[in-house]
This record gives sequence, C-alpha cells and structure tokens, in this order.
Amino acid sequence: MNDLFDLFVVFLRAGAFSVGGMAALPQLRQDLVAPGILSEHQVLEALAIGRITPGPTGFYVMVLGYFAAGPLGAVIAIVAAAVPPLSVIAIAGLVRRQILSAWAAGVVRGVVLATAGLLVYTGLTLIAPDRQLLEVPAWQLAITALGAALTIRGSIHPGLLVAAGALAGIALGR
Amino acid sequence: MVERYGWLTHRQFLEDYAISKMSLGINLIAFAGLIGWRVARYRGVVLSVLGLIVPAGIITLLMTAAYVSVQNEPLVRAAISGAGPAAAGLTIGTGITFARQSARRGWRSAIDYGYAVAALLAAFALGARPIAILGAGVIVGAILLRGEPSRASADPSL
Repeated sequence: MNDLFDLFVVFLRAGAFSVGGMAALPQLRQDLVAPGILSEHQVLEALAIGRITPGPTGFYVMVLGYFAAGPLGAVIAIVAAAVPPLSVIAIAGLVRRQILSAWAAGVVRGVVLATAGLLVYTGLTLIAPDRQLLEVPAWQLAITALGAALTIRGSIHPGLLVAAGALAGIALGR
Repeated sequence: MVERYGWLTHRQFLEDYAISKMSLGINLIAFAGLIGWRVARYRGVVLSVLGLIVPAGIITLLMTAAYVSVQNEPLVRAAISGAGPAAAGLTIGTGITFARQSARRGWRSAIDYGYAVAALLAAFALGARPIAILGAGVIVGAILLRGEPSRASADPSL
C-alpha cells in the first residue's frame, strides 16, 4: 500500500512541476528509472503506446503506472496527473487576470524553454536505452530524426508516426 | 463549443485556451475543466473532465494490458524496435516545438533559444535534475523572459 502511495506522489510531483503533458516526462523518468522501478526501455515503450492510444498528450503516464504496478498503478497515475490541471481551474477562478499578465508569461516561458531543453535531452538519451549512441543501428537513428522533423512540422498525427515506426521495425528490426 | 452550442464566446474560448496552455500537467484536462466550469460550474468540471479521461483511459488501460501480454513475441519486439525510436523522435520534436512556440520574436528570440540550449547542456552536464533546471527556469523567466505572450497561447491551431 505504501508503494502505491509513493507512486501517487511521483506522478503528482511530476505533473505539478511541469507545463504540458509531455513536460512531466524528464521528472518521471528520473523518479521511476533511477530507483529501478522501470527500465529505460519501458519508458520508451510507454511513450510509444501512449501515442497510439486516444486521449490527451500525457496519457503515457497511465502506461508507466501500469508497468510499475498493474491496472491499479495506471489508475493511480492518471488520478495523480489530473490533480495539478484541476487545481489550475481553481487558481484561474481566483487570479485569472494575473495569470494572463506579462509577469506570469515570463515565468511560463522560463519553464517551457527549460522543459524544451530537458525534452530534447530525454529524447536523445532514450533512443538507445541499452547501448551507446554509436552502436544504434542507422535505421533507428533515421526514424528518430524523421520523427523529430515531422513533429516540428506538425504535419503528421503522432499516433501515425509511431505506427509507421512500428512497421519499419517489423521490416528492419528482425 | 463556441459555434455549435453557444456555450461561450470566442474570446472566452481563447482565454481559457491560453490559461490551459500555461497549466500544470496535462493541458487538455485544465482546458476541459475551464470550459466545464463556464457551462455548468462544479457539475460541468466533473462531467467534462471525466468525459475526457474515462473513455480514453479505459482504452489506454486495455491496450497496455494487451501489450504486456504479448510483449515478448518476436514480432512485437521488432515493432517496438521501430516504434521506440519514433517515440524518441517525437519527444525531441516536441521539445523543439515547445521552444519555437514559446520564444519571443525579434532579437530576443536569441536569448530564448540560447536559454533552452543552456537547459539542454545543463541536463547533459549535471545528469538531468529536472526540478532544479525547471526551478531555475521560474527565476530566469520572471526576470529575463517577460513580455509578449507565447505564440501558442494566441493561436489554438498550434
């Protein structure tokens, strides 16, 4: 039971210190992989599955929770992840004008830009969870580069991109 | 919601969208809740957030369970060997998109991109302590990065 509470705290904290669904990823990775609850490879699997399933960006937290503690873990993850955005609704009711001020915009910009750097770091270090970057097959690096480029252009649905990657894996990865 | 049901004005929609873009955690939950609040107060928040989370959550749960039961099949492992790098690429692309949407225009964009790159280098150098790097982001942002709202918050199509 204690473990499940710890898991709740991990997901709550990651959500509370991030702006946006993907932004919780660097913190979650640190909290779940470093103590040995999940492997790097499972984080990557969770990202892939979370992109194929419907729902808002950020539902990969359910997959991480499932990997950590089964179906109950998935429920705990999404409940914990829902608390910070719900608290924003209450905060917005109280200080709506201040949230839309230049000062708040600066704080959010600082956090989002820092998150941008952290996400690029996380992606780069997740490509090859089990080995050195130089040992990664060229086709996998090509998929990563293509995935990044298409995401920046915004011209493809993330789920399709992951599905295309899966097909390429079936063709090339055996 | 604006055009079909007339629940809120276009301006209210954009304002809620801007706030949700700045929301902690999963933005869409905040967005759904803010709209729900306008339409039917507490009841609206509960219904809109549950409507967003429950169906997609059940599907995610079932798909994850299905994945776990077949994850050691060679075919599935091969698929993940391609889907994983695609997801890593998505993560990198999302990071770069965050920077592009958040950076200010003109000469100040150089400061903003430089700051994002500094966070990236700090992650490599310090072994990524996300909370420390984000905490620095709050302080630096409040002092140095004020001014125009992010482009993303002004345009829901982004």
